[in-house]
Amino acid sequence: MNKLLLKYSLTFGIILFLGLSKIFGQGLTVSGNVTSEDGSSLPGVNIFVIGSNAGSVSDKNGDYTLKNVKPNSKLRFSFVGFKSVDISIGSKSKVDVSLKRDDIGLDEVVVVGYGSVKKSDLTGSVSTIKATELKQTPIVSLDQGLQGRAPGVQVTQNSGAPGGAVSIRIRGGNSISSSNEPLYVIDGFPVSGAVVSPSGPGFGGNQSNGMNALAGLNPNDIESLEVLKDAAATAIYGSRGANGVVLITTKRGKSGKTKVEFESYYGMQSVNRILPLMNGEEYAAFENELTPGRFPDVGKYGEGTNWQKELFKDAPISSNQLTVSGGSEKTQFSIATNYFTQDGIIKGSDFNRGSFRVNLDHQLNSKVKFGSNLSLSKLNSNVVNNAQENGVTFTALLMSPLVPVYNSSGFYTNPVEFNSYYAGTGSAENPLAMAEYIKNDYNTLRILGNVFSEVQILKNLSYRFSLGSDIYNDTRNVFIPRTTQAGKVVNGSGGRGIVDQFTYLHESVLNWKPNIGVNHVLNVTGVFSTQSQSQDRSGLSASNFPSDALGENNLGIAATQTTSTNKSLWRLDSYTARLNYNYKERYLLSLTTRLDGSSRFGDGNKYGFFPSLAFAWRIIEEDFMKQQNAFSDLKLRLSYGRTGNAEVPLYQSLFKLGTTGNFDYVFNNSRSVGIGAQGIPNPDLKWENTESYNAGLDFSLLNNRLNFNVDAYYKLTSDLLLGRTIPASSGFSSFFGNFGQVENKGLEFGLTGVLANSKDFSWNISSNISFNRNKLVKLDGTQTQIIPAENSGGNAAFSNNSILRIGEPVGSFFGYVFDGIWQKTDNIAASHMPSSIPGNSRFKDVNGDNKLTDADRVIIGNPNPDFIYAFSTNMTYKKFDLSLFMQGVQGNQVFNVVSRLLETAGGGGNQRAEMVNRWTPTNPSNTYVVASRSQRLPQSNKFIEDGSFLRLKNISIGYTVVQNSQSKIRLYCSANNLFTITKYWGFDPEVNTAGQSDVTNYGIDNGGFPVAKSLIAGLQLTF
Amino acid sequence: MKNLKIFTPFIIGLSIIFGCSDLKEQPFSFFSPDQFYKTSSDAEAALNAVYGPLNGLYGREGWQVPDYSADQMFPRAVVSRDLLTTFNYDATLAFLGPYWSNCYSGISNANALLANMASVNMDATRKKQIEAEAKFMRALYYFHLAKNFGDVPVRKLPVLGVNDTEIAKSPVKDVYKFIIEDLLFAEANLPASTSVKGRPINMTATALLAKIYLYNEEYANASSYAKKAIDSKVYDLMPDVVSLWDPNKEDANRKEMIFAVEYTRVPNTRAGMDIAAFNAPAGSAPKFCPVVYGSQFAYINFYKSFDSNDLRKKLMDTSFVDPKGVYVGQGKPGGVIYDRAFIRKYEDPQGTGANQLENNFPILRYADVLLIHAEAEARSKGVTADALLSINKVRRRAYNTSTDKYDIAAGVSTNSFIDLILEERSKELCFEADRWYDLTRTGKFINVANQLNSYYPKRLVAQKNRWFPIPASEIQVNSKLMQNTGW
Repeated sequence: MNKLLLKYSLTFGIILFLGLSKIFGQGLTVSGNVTSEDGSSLPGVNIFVIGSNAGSVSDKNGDYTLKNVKPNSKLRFSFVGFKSVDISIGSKSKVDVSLKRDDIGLDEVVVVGYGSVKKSDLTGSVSTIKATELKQTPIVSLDQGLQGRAPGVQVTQNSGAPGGAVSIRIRGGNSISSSNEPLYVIDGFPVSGAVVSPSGPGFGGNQSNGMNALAGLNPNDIESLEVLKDAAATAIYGSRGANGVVLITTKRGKSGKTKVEFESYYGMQSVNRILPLMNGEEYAAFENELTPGRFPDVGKYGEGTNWQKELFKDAPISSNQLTVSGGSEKTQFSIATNYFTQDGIIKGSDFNRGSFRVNLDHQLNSKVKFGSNLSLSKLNSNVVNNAQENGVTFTALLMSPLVPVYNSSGFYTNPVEFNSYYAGTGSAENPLAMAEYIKNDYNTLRILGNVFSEVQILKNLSYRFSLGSDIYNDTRNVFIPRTTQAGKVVNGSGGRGIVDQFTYLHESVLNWKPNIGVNHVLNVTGVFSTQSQSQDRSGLSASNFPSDALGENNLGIAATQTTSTNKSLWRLDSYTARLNYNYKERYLLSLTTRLDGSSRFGDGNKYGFFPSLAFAWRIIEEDFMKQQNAFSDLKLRLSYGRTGNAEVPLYQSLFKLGTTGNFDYVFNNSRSVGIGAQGIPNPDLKWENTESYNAGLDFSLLNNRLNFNVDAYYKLTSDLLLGRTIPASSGFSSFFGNFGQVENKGLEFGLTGVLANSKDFSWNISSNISFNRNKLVKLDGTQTQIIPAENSGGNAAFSNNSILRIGEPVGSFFGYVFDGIWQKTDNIAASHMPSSIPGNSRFKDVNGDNKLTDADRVIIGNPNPDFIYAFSTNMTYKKFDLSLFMQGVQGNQVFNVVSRLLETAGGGGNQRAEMVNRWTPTNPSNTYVVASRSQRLPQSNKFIEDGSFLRLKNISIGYTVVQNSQSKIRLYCSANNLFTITKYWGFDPEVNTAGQSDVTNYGIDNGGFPVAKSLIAGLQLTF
Repeated sequence: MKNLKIFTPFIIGLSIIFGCSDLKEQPFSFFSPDQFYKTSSDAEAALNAVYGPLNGLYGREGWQVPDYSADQMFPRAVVSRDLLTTFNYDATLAFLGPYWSNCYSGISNANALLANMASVNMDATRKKQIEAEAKFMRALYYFHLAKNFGDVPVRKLPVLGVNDTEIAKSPVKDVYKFIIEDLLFAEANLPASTSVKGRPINMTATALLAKIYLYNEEYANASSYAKKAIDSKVYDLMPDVVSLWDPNKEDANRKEMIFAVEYTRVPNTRAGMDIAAFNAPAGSAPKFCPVVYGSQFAYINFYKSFDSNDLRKKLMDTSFVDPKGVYVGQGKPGGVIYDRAFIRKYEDPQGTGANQLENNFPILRYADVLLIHAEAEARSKGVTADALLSINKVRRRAYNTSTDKYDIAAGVSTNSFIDLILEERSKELCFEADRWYDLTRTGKFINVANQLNSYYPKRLVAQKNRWFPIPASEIQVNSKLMQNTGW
């Protein structure tokens, strides 16, 4: 009955509407053609008569016709990506219009989750990064290019290795033990930025060695990149939105003349800094203090070997890209191919990538369009081991300068064989042998693609269907030959690790844009999607080879062999709805809901619900703003929403029985496999939940020449995934569950400006600064702090760095307070450190109990910066262009584990040059300890350094040789990381050697692969 | 309208194809509880997991913790090992956590096995033996905890859930009571012999009970259980004390090695202990071990305390000829073995890697049982002929003599006799993770402050070192657990 009523009402309404149109719609018939500035016709342009309901859309030739237009009306031509134009028709019946592309204006189209909107219609906090900015520095992967480009986005290079991973924090870190990396969505396909590292012998699964997961995507293929920051923008990604979302749109063809672009650059990279260490003579004298008389004639050792200079090299980098794009009105294509190659500044490391992309679009008829994206890339990278104290860099720092680089046979010296000096060195390996003799290469094949179809079911209802897959195969080959000490003792070891990963994605998107009157725009989007990923891992490793000759290519001949395989699978089902409502371009409302069901969650919590609500007020459109000239745009944005982090490790909610390395035993001299419980299950396991609030103000001055964005946000993440340490007397060390709470709040300011824009001279600037404050609010409800567990057997310098304490930032550094050096005149026996000898370091007895105990450890530093900032500018004068990009971090601290090990003075390796001034009875230093074998140099604030820096990331100068409508030739050269202003002692203050996975041990310098500076020359050719 | 009709079933169809999974997480590479504890091989695998952590324990911490503290060997001063020797450590000492957790991991696996045996369908005899082995191992782990930490939490059942993880300590006497209970069950139910190298038999439990009673100061019981083991004639001393440590004679030596942590150089097994690499001096490879760390040495005074006719002195040395033919002696300061002797127990030149060495690590051997018998006899009855016989068996083997030339003669006072036994134990069982516990149980551990050298000129042992501190991380997460006195 109701249905019938509705039908009648609708019919009545339509008749009434049509009737009214007839009554009022008497006048001219106006027609014309709409083109873009390059002359190509523009289909789909909205044309309407201002002040009436009449409107039309240009057809495939750009032609339009409007009937019954009153004379002297104004027509508005609008089209996404172009500047809107208002034209008074007077009494003309033919009006042709050429629309100008709008690159930075408010009508710019911004890609958002499952759609796009005009920038002016945005209700959320979204930063756009253009391809030109992204590519300004020579980057391997797009995540590196995000650095300094958007407010609120902190990018830290974990490793300077070619293809090395980065850590990204969008508006601070929400998580303690799960991922803090954003979700990447490449042409609609969500991919994880997490490092995938195949197993292999020798190096374990250390993340600092892992390859960047996004290295398979050629950054040159990217058209634009959007960073979604607040819940209004990210809630549509539900349980995966909490860390922010980076949307990547690759280049598509445009109809018109076929365009061929060739881009090429070549450059050299070099190390920024060599750490000053003791030379041969100084080292021998130092060893003599530890072991009197060891080197009778110290003078003869002179400079000795400078291992850093031997290890580092000048390394070339190059990229060649050919893109062909174009198409007819019906079919457009873009084909790109790229070859990128980079040597690392540490010998033995490199990265090579060949990639190929085809994007196709075809308009079958006026209703149906389909297309595909396909990218294929093959990577090959030789990675040197930089896993902390066993890494190449650290080994080079600690290696005795008395050991020669080469032995008499012309091979790199094995320090163990080089007996007489060995006893004093920390590592048994020659760093160059590690870098060059040890093979550790990654071979990755990635095919990422999707096919899609868009159907205009009704005039205002469209349906998009897409099916995609991500095929990822990573094979790691390792061989450690006998020419290294590690290989010698086991007669060579080698292995192969394989990760075979298949992800599929199905998405169905319905979009409904009902016509509800000129002043009201309603846009409703509904999405159903399914994503599933299976991963098969295999690991083969072997040792005791009869010969090194075959390397890892015939593991079967080795006497010792081990194999492992593992399979895992996850699936995510999502139901999403979004409603955007816009009243008179003045009031904008967005409502998003997403229901995510994930196989990772415990049986009690399979589905999570993630809503968001956002409101924007374009104050500039208000009548009272018409009187002023100061602002050319003014918009207020408010949003609230809930998002999740579903990066719950797989199978954590289940009761698992299996092997661990420690369950096997040996009976009858053979392996007896032990099977037992692997932990205490948690059936209530679920996502991390982030509630966030955002208030933003966008305003433009001087006729949109200066654009400002200001955002303030507050985020509270609850149900933090946390491996809670439980009493080991239970048989288990930790319990994985949703416990903690973390708060982030901050302010972001962004500015873009066009300072000049004349024919001969243009000058743009862009700058941003972001402040974030992070605080741990709650742990598991019982504890007030968690001090990470001690590291068994290994070097204690590499663990125990950070503490989780309620009320303090996550990852605060924890340790003793350095209080100078014990002197001969001190009454040591009566002190709180009675076993010390003069020259040992002294630490504060913080609690005053006259004993130095655990209780005297305090928070000694914070790895989180006070603010991060960046500034860039581009100038063109006639045929010359100049750009400059600076980026900085202020107020953070770095835990310098490197200097800690280089100051121990206990033997076991070379020391920093300043240790020449170590304490001796005649040189009562209060900074550097005495040479003594049995002294303790625990973690203290002595090794906490100011990590602030300001870096000239890039400066480039270009010259455009030819530019006309047909072709363009531009030559340029650029310098990257040319200088860094910092007080930090180590290689580089931008350091995070713990990698992505260890989010609480952030900002620790464990001596990884240093960041390089580079000089590049390049050519861009278009015809 | 027509198009809509076409696509509606299409969309619905897709939803069915892609959307109709229950999101149940399907395991592939591990077992669910409903797949395990069913068959005899499940039970054997679960039993292996009870032994596994013992391999982990003696990988390093099992011997490092007591032996670096005692007065026979010392570590090279790296990675905080020296803290044990200088007694400069606190509850955060990195060696304590793994010691503690390996013991409890074994206990937890034993508890899980014992709780689930009911559902296993298998031969009843072997089933009982499996339970007895699990209880034997559980007792052994608790013994390790009790002799290091004193009062410790006692878990007899599997953890029920995360809310069941915090429990308080039990007094050390109660810990020993539970150990004895388990071992009595093991003694009653273990077989009289086994064909599997490495498994305990009933007499293994008997011998271990003797040691437990000794530590628990129940000397009469200790004496009678030791006697029971001796009289059974299941075990005996090997004639040559040096070849007792020859890895190629390991199986023959099982006659004396009552129970040991099993390690092997056979590839593709669990790689475990690298003690031989610790002992081998720099530059000696592969003479004593294919891999060389040169990381621990005997005190030169300990070496010198051996009579030159005592064959056990050969298990150390003060010089060697390296593979290039160069003689390496005591040398000058900074020399490889200056002011120290290197240890030759556990050496295995044919080892296949740092962690793939043949020598097992002894937990209990017949010489120990003889000395336990002598001591327990003396403490409960005085210096009896039986007591003298037991210690002199050990001494005669050491001096390779059948005469009474090196015998302890009758007529010594009980106190001197016990001192002689402790000295004999030190020489016989040196580097076997035993000496420190002799010193602590007898209150003589303060004396290690006198065992000094140029590497360790000062050792700050104090009364609190009677027990090691419970690992700081454990205290932190268990609100019911109190730290040991003095820490």
